[in-house]
Amino acid sequence: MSEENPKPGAMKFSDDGETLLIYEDGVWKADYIQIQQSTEDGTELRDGEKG
Amino acid sequence: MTATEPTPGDAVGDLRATLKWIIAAAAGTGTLLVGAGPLAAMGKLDDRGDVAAAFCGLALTVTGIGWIVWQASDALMPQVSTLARFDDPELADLRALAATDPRAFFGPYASLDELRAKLQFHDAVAGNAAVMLARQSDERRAKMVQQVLDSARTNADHARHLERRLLTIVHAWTVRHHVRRARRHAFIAMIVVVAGAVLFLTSVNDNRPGTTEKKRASTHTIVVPGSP
Repeated sequence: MSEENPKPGAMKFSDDGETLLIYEDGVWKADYIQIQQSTEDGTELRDGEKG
Repeated sequence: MTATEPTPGDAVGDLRATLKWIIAAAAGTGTLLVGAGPLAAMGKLDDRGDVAAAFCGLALTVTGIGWIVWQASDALMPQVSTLARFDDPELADLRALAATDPRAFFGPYASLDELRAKLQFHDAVAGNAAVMLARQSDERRAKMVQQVLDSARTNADHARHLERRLLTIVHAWTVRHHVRRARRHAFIAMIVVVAGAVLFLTSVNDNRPGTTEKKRASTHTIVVPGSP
């Protein structure tokens, strides 16, 4: 994977080596976090029910 | 999720059970209307017009029942669903429902496209992190990569779960669409069945023993007083 044209999800350390950077939406980001699952995410739908 | 909670997949079984009841009701009604008794009476028909009417009535009834069974069995056939079906015109009401409560359908993502893109992204992060971790000799850096790897795997699992759930909903909605269509057809077909049964029973009853004699007698009674 070339440095000039990274793919989403590509990873590298910052120049000072202190931060792990991840390529997302065209930029290198340092804030990749685990998404907190909401109780609403698990809302089940059954035929006949309204959202 | 506990084992007792309903899932969209349960709805598929319920929908198909409903459809089986529709078929059973249609078949039962047809048997009741054009049962063994009226069929036996058909053999005693002597008037060509009545025979033709009884035959047409019987044909209409059988056609109506066949129509119901055909439509219902079409909906009972196993469906193959993919997430691509989410954009089908027949699932427009599901998309409208998703628009009113996106979180219930897509979790933290805004749309199906974003959900799929992010699943791909989290998988890529997890894959790259695993490779980087294997090459990492610095313990502090390895710890950072390990943290990202764990997060990416959790995020990917969550996105995958949402995608599977959505696929189940799409599948249930597709079956629901077919069941609703079969129900509409069943309603129209039942009108045909009843029309056929009325025609059949009317022609058969016209020829029951005694009916013809009464008719003749009635006709005779009218004619006699009129004669000089």
